[in-house]
This record gives sequence, structure tokens and C-alpha cells, in this order.
Amino acid sequence: MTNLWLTASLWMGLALVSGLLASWTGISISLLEIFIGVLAGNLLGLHTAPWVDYLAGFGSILLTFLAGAEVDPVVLRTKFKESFSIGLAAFLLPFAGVYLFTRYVVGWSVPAAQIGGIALSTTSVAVVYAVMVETGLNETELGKLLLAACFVNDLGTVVALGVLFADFNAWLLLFVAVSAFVLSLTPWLTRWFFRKYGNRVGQLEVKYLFFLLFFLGGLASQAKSEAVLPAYLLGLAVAGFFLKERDLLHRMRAMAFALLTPFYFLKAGLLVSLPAVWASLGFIALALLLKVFTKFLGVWPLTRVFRFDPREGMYSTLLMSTGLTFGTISALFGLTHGIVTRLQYTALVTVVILSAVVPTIVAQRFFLPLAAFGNRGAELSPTAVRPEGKKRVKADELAFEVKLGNEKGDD
Amino acid sequence: MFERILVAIDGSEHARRALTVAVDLAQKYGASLCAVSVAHLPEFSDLRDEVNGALEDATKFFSRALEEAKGFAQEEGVEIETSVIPGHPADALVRFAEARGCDLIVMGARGLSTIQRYLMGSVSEATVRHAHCPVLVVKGK
Repeated sequence: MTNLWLTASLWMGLALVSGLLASWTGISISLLEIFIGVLAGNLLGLHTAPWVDYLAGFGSILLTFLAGAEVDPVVLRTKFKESFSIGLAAFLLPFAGVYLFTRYVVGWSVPAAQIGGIALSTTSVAVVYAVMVETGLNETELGKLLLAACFVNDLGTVVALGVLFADFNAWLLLFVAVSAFVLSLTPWLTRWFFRKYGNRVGQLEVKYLFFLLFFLGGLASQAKSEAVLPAYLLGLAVAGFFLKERDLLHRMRAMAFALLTPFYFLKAGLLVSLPAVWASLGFIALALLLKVFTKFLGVWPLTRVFRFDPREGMYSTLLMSTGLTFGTISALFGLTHGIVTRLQYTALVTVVILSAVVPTIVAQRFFLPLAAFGNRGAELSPTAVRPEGKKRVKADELAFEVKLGNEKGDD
Repeated sequence: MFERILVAIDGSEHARRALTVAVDLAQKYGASLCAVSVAHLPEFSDLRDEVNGALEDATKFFSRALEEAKGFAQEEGVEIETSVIPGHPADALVRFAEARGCDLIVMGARGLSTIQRYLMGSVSEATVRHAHCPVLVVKGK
């Protein structure tokens, strides 16, 4: 299809279908976008295009930035020792395990095995967070520590992706020096800029952040590093600021979810080959088991050292075995830079998707900590009301207004 | 017979019928009501902010329906507390009822077709299956 707008409408139509399916099923939009992308690529023969690549690339950068900006610096500081050790072990052991397996058992090249190790070393902060909100664990010490450990794990992933494939030359030196300078100034500069130019119709603060993302991302690319590395670090640098400026975060989220991330996830799915999934079933199963097993080796002993209850330890370990965003970003980086083949990419992305689903289900089904049940009564908006009068009103006189989307709740 | 009745509220006509029945039962037995809405979080989401956004949307959406339910129960002279809780609808309702010592769950039925029930699952069926207490599913137009 050569008509640009019709092509764009097809992509946006697929994003819309994914969003509707997400709304009906309660499954996350990103996972469904990947799924719809797989179907569109394999059954409709949809191809990517330079403008799609640009939007998808921008989407992955913005997604990584927002992930960095979600970090709660206070949580990270208060339990630094525990969260750092668990997060580091949760990154290193799966990375090493998957690297050795793909390199020496499966016979991948060194860079491809590195991509494999990085893609399967990730954890999903969002999956962990959603599960903890449902169980009320996000308000406990264990929950806060786990989230902080997830941030450290993800940091390990983006640093590995940014460093392992970089050219160690003058460009890298320049990138490191400029990034260090900009990132050290960013917390102060952002507050100042927002105070002076924020909340105007021209969205200057958004343009300011996009400028920094593109500039540092451009320098990273020049050094053959990955643009998501400075994006995550930039997110971390403004995390405290974003905790207060929720409105700015919402605006950026709206831009990301409406226009950019659909292209990223659809493209990530588009490049998955269904015949390759079938051909790699054995590898996929083994790699998934290996990821969970190495996460277990890295995280579970530390949970015992830090005196977690055994059930809590197992629950934490399984939740840290989840992964989605950075897993797909790493695999896509490998494919677009010619480091992994489409077969390897397909296998990695399939394992990444399964690692978001399987450990979560097992953790919730079999290892939900007993503390979670105590927190079940902790609701979002409690109010208690005692009646004042006893005037009878017919049920028909009640006016329920349904303004948002579908009927949520019981049937 | 019943001291604390949980009624599930989702802003629909079916929930409104369930509320009417729950208020009637509460009056008959002198019971108090817990009107509960469940915010279903996206499964396997990608951004923590996506989860927060879903929570905010759901809280905003359900607070109106819960306000109406509160007003209705108050006018009928029934003690009521309202809550929005995160989770899977059936699972969250059952656990909440257990945690708060509710001895009856009242909920509406949407009357799903076989295909819809297969695709989306029936919350009322799952609640009946897993609840520790009696469940009253209010059907009808």
C-alpha cells in the first residue's frame, strides 16, 4: 500500500482494535498490540516503513524515559542495600545463565548470546506493581523493596544494552561526558524551566524534555550505544520532579499511548514469525525455564538472607522473573542492528511475553503471601455513611450515569 | 439472618436492580450494606503509570455510581459503606466479603450469551463458585 494516510489508518486501526480488546479483556494494551502485530505481520503481510520505524523508535525511547521517571527515589534510598543486591543478582544471574546457554549449548554468536542474556535478564516493574496493588502489598515494606529491586534490575539491563555494543572511541567518550554533565544539571534545570515556562499552551516543557531525549539519544547512537540508556537515566534524573508534576506525566503518557507506543509494540509483534515460533518451541520452553531458574538462584537466597518469609521469598522471586518492555526493546535492538536473526528474535520475544504471563500466574495462584490477605480490605476510596432520614425513594428514581466506557464489574 | 450484606456496584442497570434488592433485604433483616466496585487492573501491563491510570479511571467512574447507591441506601434508612477495590472482579468481591465479614453477596447478572460467557467469563458464576457465604444473583429486565 503506497498511500501514506491509508497505511497510517491501517496501523492506527490495529492499535484501536488492540485497545478495544484490552478494554474488553482486561489484558494490557501493549501485550495485545504485540499479539495483533504478530497476526498482522503473519496473516495480513503488513510491513514496516521508515516513518513507522521512527515512531516506534521514539515510542521505545519515551517508554523507557517514563519507566525511569516512575522510580520513587525515596523508596530506592531507604532500602538501598537490600534492593541493590536483589536487583543486581536478578540481573546478573539470568544474564550469565542465558548467555552461557545460548552461546555454548545452542551455539549462538557472542553478540547474539549477549542480546539473549540481556533480553531475558529483565524484570517488569509494571507487572510487579499491578500484582502488588491488587494484593495490597505495595503499601508494605516488602512491596516497596521489591519495586526498588526491579528498578535496579532494569537499570542493569539498559546499562548492559548501552555498553556492550558501543564502540569504545571518541564518540563514546563525548557521549559519557555530555550525558554526565546534562544529567547532573537536569533535576535543577527541569524545575527551573518548568517554573518559568511550564503549563503554557505551547507545551514548552514537553519540547524541552523531547529535545534532551533526542540529543542524548543521538549521541548514544553515534557511539553505537542504545538511545534507551540515556532515556532511562534522564527519566531517573527527573523522577522526583515527576512525582510532584502528575499532570505533565499524564500529558506525556497520553502522547506515548496514543501515538508512539502502539507503533513500537505492533512493530515488535510484526517481526515475530509464527513458523519460527513453532520451530523454536523447545528452545522457548528451555529458555523460559532457565530465566525463572536463574532468577530463583539470584533472588531467592537473598530473600532468605534479608529474612523474608519463605512464601514471600518465592513470591518475590517469581514476580522478579516477569519481563516485557526492556525484553522486547533488547530483542528489537538486536534484530534491527543485525545482531540476531529473525528466528532468534522470534524465540526471544516469545519467551519475554511468556515470562510476563507464566510467573505472574504461578505466583498469584500458589505463593500469594499471607500478609496480602490481611491487606485485602484496604480499598482505594472507603467511606462509611450512617442514614439520616427514612424517606422512601423508588429504585427507578435513582440516576446512575455511565460516562466512561464499558460496564466494569459484575455480570 | 443477615448482618452485613455486600452489594456489587458497576454503574449498570443490573447493579441498580441488585442494589434495590440488597437495600430491601437490609431493611428486613436490619443489616448494614457494603457497596463495592472492583477496579480491574490491566493484566501484564507495561508501565506502572498504565496501572495508576486504570486505577484513577476506575475510581472516577465508580465514585458516581457509589455516591448514588449511598444516597439511595441513606434515604431508605440503611447503614452503608462504599469502597472501590483493585483486583479481578469475582476474586476481589469474594476476598473483600471474607475480610469484612459479610454474610451475603448480592450482585446483578448481565445475562451473557454462551459465546460472551466463554470469551469474557461470568463474574457472577465465579463468585457463586468461590464465595464462602450465600450469593444472590439478581436477574431479570
